[in-house]
Amino acid sequence: MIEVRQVNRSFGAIPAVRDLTFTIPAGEIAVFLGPNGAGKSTTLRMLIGFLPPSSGEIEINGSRVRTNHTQESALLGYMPERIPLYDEMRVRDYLRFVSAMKGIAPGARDGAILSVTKRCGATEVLGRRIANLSRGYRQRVGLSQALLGDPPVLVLDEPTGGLDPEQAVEFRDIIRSLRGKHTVLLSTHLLDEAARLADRILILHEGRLCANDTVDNLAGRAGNASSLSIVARGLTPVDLAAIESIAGVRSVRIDREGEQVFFTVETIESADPGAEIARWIVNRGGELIRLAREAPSLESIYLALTAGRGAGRDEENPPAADAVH
Amino acid sequence: MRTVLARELYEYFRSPTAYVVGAIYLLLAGYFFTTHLSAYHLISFRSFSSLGPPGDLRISLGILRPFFENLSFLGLLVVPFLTMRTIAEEKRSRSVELLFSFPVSARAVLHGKFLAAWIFLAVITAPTLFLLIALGTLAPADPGVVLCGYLGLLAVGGAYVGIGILISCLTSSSLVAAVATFGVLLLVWTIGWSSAIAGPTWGPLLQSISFLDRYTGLAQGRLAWGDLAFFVVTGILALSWADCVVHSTRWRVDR
Repeated sequence: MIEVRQVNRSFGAIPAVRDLTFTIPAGEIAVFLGPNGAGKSTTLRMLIGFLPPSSGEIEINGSRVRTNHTQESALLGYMPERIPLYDEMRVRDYLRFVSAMKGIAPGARDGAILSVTKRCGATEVLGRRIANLSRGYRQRVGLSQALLGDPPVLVLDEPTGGLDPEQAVEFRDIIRSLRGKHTVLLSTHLLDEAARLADRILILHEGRLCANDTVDNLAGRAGNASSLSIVARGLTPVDLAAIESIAGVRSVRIDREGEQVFFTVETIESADPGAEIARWIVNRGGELIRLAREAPSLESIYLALTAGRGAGRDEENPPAADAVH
Repeated sequence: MRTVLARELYEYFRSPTAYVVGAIYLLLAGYFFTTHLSAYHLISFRSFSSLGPPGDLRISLGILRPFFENLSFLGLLVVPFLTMRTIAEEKRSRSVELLFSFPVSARAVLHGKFLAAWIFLAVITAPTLFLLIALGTLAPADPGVVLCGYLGLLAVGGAYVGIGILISCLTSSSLVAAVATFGVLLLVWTIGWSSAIAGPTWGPLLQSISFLDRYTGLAQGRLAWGDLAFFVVTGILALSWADCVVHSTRWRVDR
């Protein structure tokens, strides 16, 4: 279980994370969602004890996280973004090194390595030099090292970053298989990935937590606003103003216009103007081919929750004063 | 610490750079040894044939002292190449984040890296003993002087490596680390040369922290525990400082 209580972190005068409080129950996959600069990586680095918070407390399975403290590190497996491995080593040697660093007994190391590489689909590259691995296998080796020692909590920073779609799907399957056995906190800025993986989504924007809930509950919190997807024939030109004047319609957007017209109608919360729109189309001599209500997507929920909060800062380019040198 | 030590040694012994550095170190050591041996041979020949002024023909002064001083100077040239990557490269590649996520303290990591560089320096220095064994077949060299010289080399090498690792902690560029380490080592090596113009207050102080002045006695077989302790303490202080730098870096690390 991960518990974060009123955590703040600033770099000089610039706040990166503000008053962050959340709990992730054991066995859940939680996804940190946010644009670049939202504070995702900073929060993950605080979780692993690499960065201390400016204030607040972080606990992993009841143990308070402190920098340079080995006890809590044993509870964690960490896979950083752009996984930095020692390229000159062979995969087996690298994983032996990590096993030793994690304090696994010498006699149990090879067994542990075989077990995690099987789970991650990296057994076939054990004898290969890391420099010669494809991006997909590098990620698998990265996840294997995080899983070594069977830590109860896994922290994965952008785990599918840079993977092609096929590799990303395979990698998500591996992460999904960890549900129930490990508490997983991963960061991503891919809404689709978050929707596919998460038991719980934490939306971070400009260092603040905007939401912490399941996808279904988030949809509820975003309100009942939804959209109607409509396909009609014989309406050209479409009189947008006339549709917008129908009660319950917020806005209309033409998606594609030709012999058939595809358009999306955003509706006002709790309104259902579908029947009225259908009647209007028929009365205009048009032919209604399809009218379907679209549930709010994670994208719309995300945009609704972060709307009006300003543009995110660029996380990858901190002020010069904060850089290490 | 043993795990880090083993990985770092693996890295040194498979790295072509380390072998090139070791080969050049030994070539230069052999060249300097041969030069001093030839010069000693010439001086002793002139002395015995009354062609020149009689000089001090002790092997410890004529051959061993310049030999060990040259080795310690060569160490100053090679150590920056051995230590430049230790932390700087981990920072550049961001593997330092992963390294410190393991249940191992930063101190253990630094000590492992220190020991590996120090052991590698000792390993590439060890073949120079064959030069002295060869010398022993021509003229007996005092084993006490040889032992003292190598003990001093180990001590001064430890101080070099400690300083190199400290500087590697301060940057994420291996090149900057190497150049800065060379600059600092050259400064502490030669700082005693300024003692004459530094006045009566600062002059002795500069001499007392000069690596050359501290090592000269050891190179000619004068076992001074104070000098040995100076190098050991310098190495320990540098490593402790490196530990502080690593911690403060984690407080200031970029996002």
